[in-house]
Amino acid sequence: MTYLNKCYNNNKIKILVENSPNAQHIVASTHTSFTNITYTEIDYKPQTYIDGSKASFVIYSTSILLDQVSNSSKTAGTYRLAKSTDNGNTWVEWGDNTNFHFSTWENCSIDASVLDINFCLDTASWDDTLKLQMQLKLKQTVGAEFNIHKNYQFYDQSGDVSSANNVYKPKVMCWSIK
Amino acid sequence: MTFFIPTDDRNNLIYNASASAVSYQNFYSTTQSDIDGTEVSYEVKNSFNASYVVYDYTIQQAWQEDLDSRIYIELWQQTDVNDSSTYASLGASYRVTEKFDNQRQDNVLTGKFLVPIYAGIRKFKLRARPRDSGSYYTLHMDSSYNRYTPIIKMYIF
Repeated sequence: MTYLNKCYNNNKIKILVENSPNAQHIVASTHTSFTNITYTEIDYKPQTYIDGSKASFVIYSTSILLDQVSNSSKTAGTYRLAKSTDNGNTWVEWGDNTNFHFSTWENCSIDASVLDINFCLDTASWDDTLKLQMQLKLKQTVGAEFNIHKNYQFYDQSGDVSSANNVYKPKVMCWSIK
Repeated sequence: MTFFIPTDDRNNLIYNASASAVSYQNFYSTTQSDIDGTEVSYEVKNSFNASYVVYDYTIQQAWQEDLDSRIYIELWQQTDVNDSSTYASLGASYRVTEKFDNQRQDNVLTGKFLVPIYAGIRKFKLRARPRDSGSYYTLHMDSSYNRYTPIIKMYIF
């Protein structure tokens, strides 16, 4: 028997990157209910294999930057994965324990950080293409205000370069697991 | 875009030999410095129609002295591995801030920078600085002095 020494996997990787993201401003007056996070949307259908079987799980992965908009603003938010079966007209939460909260309370806060988000999604009832994306709402309304994708300030080896459009490119990926 | 990539290239886990000896590293001056253990070379032998090379990092951060700390991190690239003068920042689209305020925080910093696919071999590293000397930041250990070697993964996507 001869084996191929270079096995090509077929996990149907899909990746989307926004190279010139606009900042998404999150503020209490408009984001106390769930809102879509820009550049985290992706269309995906679980891989079907040559034997006719379907992938058992799909990994949804995204990476985004959160940063304050002033020296006193905070980033506290509640996040969830949402899906759409009607090409993005309506969105419902994925459920199945795909909600989480990020940040801290009261006077303590995480004011800037990268969120690396990964969910392992059961494909048992997932046969057609779905749209997926992240949503968030503010955890608290006092002092919570931030931008997604854009650094509030940045200092490099030359000093303060905050006037530049300093961003972290948002990316979203899906792949199948048999 | 959807494409297929060989497993052995996607899972090309880079382990920098010098990273095993990485000590904790304090950032407290206004000078930008290399983050120890984050420099790796990555060769694209065959792009397999991939669009990006991924630089994926995991780094421990510790609370030490300041309750209000921030650090600015950016990705650098050396386009000619035989010529260090070609090392340069990838610019304003490859930058992140990590900041905590009024708390004693230990955390693991993670992120992914995607570089457009290239041919051949290039070298990458992370460089960082705090905003000012009053913003103290420590990497590679927690506040109980447990060491955590930085993990850098590079692969094509």
